[in-house]
Amino acid sequence: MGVSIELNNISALKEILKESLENKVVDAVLGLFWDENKETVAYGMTKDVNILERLEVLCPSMPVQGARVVSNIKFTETPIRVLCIIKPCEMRAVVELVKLKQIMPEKLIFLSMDCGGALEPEKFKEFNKFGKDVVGEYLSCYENFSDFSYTSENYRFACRVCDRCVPKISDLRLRSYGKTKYLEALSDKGHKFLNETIKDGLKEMDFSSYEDSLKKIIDNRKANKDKERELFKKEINSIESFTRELSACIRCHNCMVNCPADYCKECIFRSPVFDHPSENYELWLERKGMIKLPSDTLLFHLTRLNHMSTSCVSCGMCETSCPVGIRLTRIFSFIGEETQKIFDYEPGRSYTEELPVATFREKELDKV
Amino acid sequence: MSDFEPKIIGFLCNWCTYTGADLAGTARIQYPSNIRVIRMMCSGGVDMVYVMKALLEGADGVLIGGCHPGDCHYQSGNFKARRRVAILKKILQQLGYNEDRVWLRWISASEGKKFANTVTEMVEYLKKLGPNPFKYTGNI
Ligand code: SF4
Ligand code: SF4
Ligand code: FES
Repeated sequence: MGVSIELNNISALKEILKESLENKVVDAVLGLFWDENKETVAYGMTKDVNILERLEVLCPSMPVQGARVVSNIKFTETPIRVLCIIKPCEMRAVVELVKLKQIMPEKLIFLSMDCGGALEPEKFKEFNKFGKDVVGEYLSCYENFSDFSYTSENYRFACRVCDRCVPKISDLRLRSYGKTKYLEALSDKGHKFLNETIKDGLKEMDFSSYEDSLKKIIDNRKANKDKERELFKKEINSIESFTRELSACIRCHNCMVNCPADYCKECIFRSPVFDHPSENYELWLERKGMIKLPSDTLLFHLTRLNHMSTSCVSCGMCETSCPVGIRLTRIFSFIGEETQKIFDYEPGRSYTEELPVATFREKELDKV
Repeated sequence: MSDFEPKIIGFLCNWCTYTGADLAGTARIQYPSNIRVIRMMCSGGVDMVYVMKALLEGADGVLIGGCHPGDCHYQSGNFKARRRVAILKKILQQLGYNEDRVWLRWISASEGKKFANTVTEMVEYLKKLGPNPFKYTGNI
């Protein structure tokens, strides 16, 4: 139970963010900002309190993985203090990237929220464009403690089955359900931020009834996940069915480029290794009778599963990025669960839990 | 199926299993010729992408040979290899593919006999299992 501040509505949070910029508690705020036409949102960073008007804290869109955005900025040379507003799955990816030394978190403060999920970015834009008040509806669902994302096909698959929609390890947690919201410090850094920004109203609070109502939402999602996992395991249980699922893959690498866990600059799939000389194709024709083109799509996905599935945070960004609709979230999240289980590892759970592939125990895995 | 001769790709650590294989040769210990050996500097250098490539290209089995626990020349290469193989096997299992086409074995430089026995055993096993289904698919 951390120190919290009560917020009458979501705009009250914006006031706090403004104060934190004005009082130089942080140098910039990173989050989702509306474009000029208010059609869609994109990640952005600002130190201008006027631009904060365009910030949307509770926003059902995830145009790119937030952890990716943060890790792309090298905060090392200019250590500005940035408050980053990201969703819980993005926060889990931040934890993984900190462990992989791709994010230096010292000057960053992470604010995450009890998350209601997101639409695919094209849906989000389309709805807004045709005058649907997407964010308004989203906010009123929050206010009524109603479970919106898991029932609506418009939401991303990853969100419909997400039972980790509450941030456990960010510096600040926005308890976003109900009419009154709360901003709670989960870490010393978060506590310090609240102390420096807010003059009065900070107190320890009891959230047990909030947690009870939240549990219902999480349980629904969990049940949905169990159902989908079972369906997946029935459907994709052989190399043939796996190959079929991937048959449309054009190996554009979008899934890899947008996945927060695929951080490696020396990735074999970023090299010319797969520009095979034409003799190879002749050999394949000889040996196999045909060759699927582009080649190496199975190898690509199997390699990703081997290299990063232990760090898959189930954010679904791979699926959002895929131009041919391959159900990548199911593949990576459900198979990732299994590889993570071997080491009792949960990506994004803790900063100190070692990455399974970066460590070992002398006595383990006797039967491999 | 009786004339099916499995092909095995062996990724063998230079400091142990590879030397063990050499010893089997110089000591004239008989073992089947189904294995094609690739010398690695350490089992920890065997990226699973090589193993999968071998399988997708139609190898019937892959043998990874490393130093006994505690004997790796780079301290922990074999322990890391063991984790990677565990992950690979879990993935193959999830995809309904027989993960026992991949063997990880600790065979030291002096264990020529053990190397020969391992290859013999593996060939027998793969003969029973039949050819790798990937042999005949154009998906790689
Ligand atoms: S994004 Fe889709 S098409 Fe592109 S490489 Fe990934 S799975 Fe294949
Ligand atoms: S594999 Fe897909 S779901 Fe998993 S972390 Fe990467 S983008 Fe997210
Ligand atoms: S040196 Fe032989 S396994 Fe590492």
